[in-house]
Amino acid sequence: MTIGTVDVAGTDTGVVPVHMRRPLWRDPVFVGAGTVLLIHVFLALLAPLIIPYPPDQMSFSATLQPPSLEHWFGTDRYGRDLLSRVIMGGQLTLAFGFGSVAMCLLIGLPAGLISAYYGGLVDQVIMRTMDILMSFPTLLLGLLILIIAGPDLGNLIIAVGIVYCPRTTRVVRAAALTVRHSAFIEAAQARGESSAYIIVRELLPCAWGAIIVEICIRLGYAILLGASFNYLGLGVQPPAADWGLLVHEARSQMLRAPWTAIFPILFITTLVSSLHLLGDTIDERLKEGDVG
Amino acid sequence: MLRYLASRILYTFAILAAVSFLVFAVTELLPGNVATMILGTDATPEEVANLERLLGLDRPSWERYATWVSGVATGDFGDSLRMQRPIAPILASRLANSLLLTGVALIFVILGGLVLGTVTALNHGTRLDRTFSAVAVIGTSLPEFVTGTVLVLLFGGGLMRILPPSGYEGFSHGIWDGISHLILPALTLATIMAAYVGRIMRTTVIDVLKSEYVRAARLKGLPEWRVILRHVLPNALVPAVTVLCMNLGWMFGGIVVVEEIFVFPGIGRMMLFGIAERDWPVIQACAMVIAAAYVLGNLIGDVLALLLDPRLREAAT
Repeated sequence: MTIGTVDVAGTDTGVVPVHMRRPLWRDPVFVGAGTVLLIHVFLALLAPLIIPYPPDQMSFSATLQPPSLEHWFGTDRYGRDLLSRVIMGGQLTLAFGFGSVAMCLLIGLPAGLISAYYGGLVDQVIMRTMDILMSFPTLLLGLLILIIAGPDLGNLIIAVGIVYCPRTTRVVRAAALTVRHSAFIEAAQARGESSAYIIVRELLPCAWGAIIVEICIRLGYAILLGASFNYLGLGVQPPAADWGLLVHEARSQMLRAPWTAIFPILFITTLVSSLHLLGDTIDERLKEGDVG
Repeated sequence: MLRYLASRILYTFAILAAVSFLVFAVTELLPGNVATMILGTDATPEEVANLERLLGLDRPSWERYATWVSGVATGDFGDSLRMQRPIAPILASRLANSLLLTGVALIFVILGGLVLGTVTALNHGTRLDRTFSAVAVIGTSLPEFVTGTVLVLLFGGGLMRILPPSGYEGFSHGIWDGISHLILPALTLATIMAAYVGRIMRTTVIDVLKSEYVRAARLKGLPEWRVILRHVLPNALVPAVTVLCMNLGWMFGGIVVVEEIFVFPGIGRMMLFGIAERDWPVIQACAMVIAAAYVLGNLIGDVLALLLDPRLREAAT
């Protein structure tokens, strides 16, 4: 999948637009997206403290209530408070997002660095294996893994991690390759440093910029894919619910009670858009060689 | 060029072989004994052993893999455990539905992506352009289940009821009935790609507008619409169409979720049915066909891209 690596704006004009010469923290897009992301992270971290009702508490006298002062986001068909469920869902969503990206890095970092450092046969074996993984549609590969592993949060993280690790590997490898034949690597080899030392202390630091962009973008995609599995009922199991499962639960009554679908959609959209915008902004800065 | 084509086709077959192996391995690893799953836990050991022999489960895996692959190669996918019928005919009609859906989505991508990209590029730097760029970023960050749900809320009965939110039954109830059921799912499938293609189209049109030959055409005194139609668009189309071609297979991958949202009788929902019912021949067949469509779509995309762009052709040889 080539989607997700294209620049949003700015690179087509030839001259550097004024807003990009400002320091990063004064770029309105960066600040806006960063703020949205921080709000999501804080809501998730503080979730148990701020939710007004237990997320699983049913009330059959108050089913499908529209948003009100009592229930800001309304209630679902079992009378559960939607605000509480959406905030708790954020915790789950971020958990599998970060978990999957950690999984991607766990595989992709060593694989990409080793591939770039040794080259030759090692490179061929690693990259062709990744090619085979990438020759599956992402959703299908994840489905197959989840069918074997069974639906739960841990397996969801593993499935999304495996699906996306070839892309992380490619990014890390490409970043490491740009410095692989530099003088300082040769110097380290001449000093007699071990391969492990060179990979970790010389190659890895040069790849950090690309890795940070990859983390932002990959986090967005991991959340989308994970939420899609949950929507299909193959990930997190009820009564726990991430935003994907909340949208799925809203399906049968969303025409009568649209708030049950709108709020989880609003949350997932703002989170993923902010991640993509952050990734794009940092990426543009890196290409100019100026991370302020 | 020919050598590249040959190696590309060979590569596709190698990938298909690897895919078939993985798909088969997955169903081998399915938890639980298949025979017990069909008969229920209170079946006697003899009954289980009988059924296993009937299904050929007592043979070694490699032998069953060989039988399965040769079957698949000749279009025989075995029988569904749940439906007790051959899979191939059902699969064929479901696949036809899915391909039709993807085809309509492709039309939306071309119309939406190319037109929006061109219009915004011609209005480069205006509010319209900035709005579209922002919407395009959001468009590429929406999963299908969100786009689909929003579309249903807007047009499928929430805000207004213009289009049916589910229940495609082919064209037996008239052409409009069929088409109207295809529009929402196809739009959902098309959104991400349209936003993506639109962004690329916008960038290339802006580049072409700055080129020497466009300036020459303008200096020659050609009317602006002629400059755009005859000089800008033909040159700007190539990158966008190339990217579109390369993502043909990718579009087919999104079909599982879209079909689930709109209860569309395609191959994606058939696969989900297989998963829910633990009907492993159905899972195998659907996974294999979806993966094959994806791989073949990418092959077609690469070849079309080569034909369109002579520069790629030179790089390939």
